[in-house]
Amino acid sequence: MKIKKIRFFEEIKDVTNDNIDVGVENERGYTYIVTVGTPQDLLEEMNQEKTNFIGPYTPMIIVKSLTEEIIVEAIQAYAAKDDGFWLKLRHFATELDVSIFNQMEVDNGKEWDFDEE
Amino acid sequence: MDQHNQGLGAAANPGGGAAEFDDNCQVPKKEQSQESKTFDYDYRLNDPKKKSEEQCPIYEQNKAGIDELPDSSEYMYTLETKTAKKALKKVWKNPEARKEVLAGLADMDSGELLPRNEKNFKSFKELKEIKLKDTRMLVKPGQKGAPDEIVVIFMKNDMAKVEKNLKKVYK
Repeated sequence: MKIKKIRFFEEIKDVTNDNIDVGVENERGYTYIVTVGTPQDLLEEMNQEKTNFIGPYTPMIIVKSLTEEIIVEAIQAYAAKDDGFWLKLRHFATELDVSIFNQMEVDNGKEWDFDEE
Repeated sequence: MDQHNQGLGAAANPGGGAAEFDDNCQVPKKEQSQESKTFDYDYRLNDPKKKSEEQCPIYEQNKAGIDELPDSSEYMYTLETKTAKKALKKVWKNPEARKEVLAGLADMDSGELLPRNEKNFKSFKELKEIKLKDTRMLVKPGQKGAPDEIVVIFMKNDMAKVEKNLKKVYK
């Protein structure tokens, strides 16, 4: 996926402990939205929400530090891999219906349903 | 109307003209109860919070047809734009997103929203962002004691479209 423009929607309060929404515009003018955050931010989320794990929701892209340079580097890596598959997956995750995976489970089961001779 | 009823009417409307009272006339229990209700109502009107909710038309809300959105003294909804209506409709079609928004609104109402959930949204000086997991809200902070105005509730992946459209409406 070719990147035309990268935009930061929010101000970064703490480069080591924060997350921000980033817009990644492709050559067709469509903007993908991903959240980029730090490991410390995930720890803080668990502490503040008094949980031992990050709850089930669209995963962030994790970076060591929320500097512009590192965020751009990470976004470029995600855009380059498989035509931006993992970036696009993050953007559209909430619109994917679980029935897609259930059907894949059925198909995958059938595909491997044979006896070794 | 007989004289007795005239007296009661005047009592229920203080300052509504000269009242004539008959101290010897017993007030039926039903009417006593009504008078008590009237007193309670007047008392509550002296509460500034109640005044803002019940008397000021400026605080009239627009929930974009989603009555499930809870009322609060901390915030109100002005989901008036086409963008706000479309965005909210999409959120409400997604059960998990809907649940997340309702929980976020409950936290806002009880003052339990975490600092990490409040952000400055670069594109709008007059709006702040409430950042949940997969959903976002843009809020216009209330002035002079007025409640905050929620102007849009949207799925995170609609952010670019929401921002572009609302730039025509908000600074």
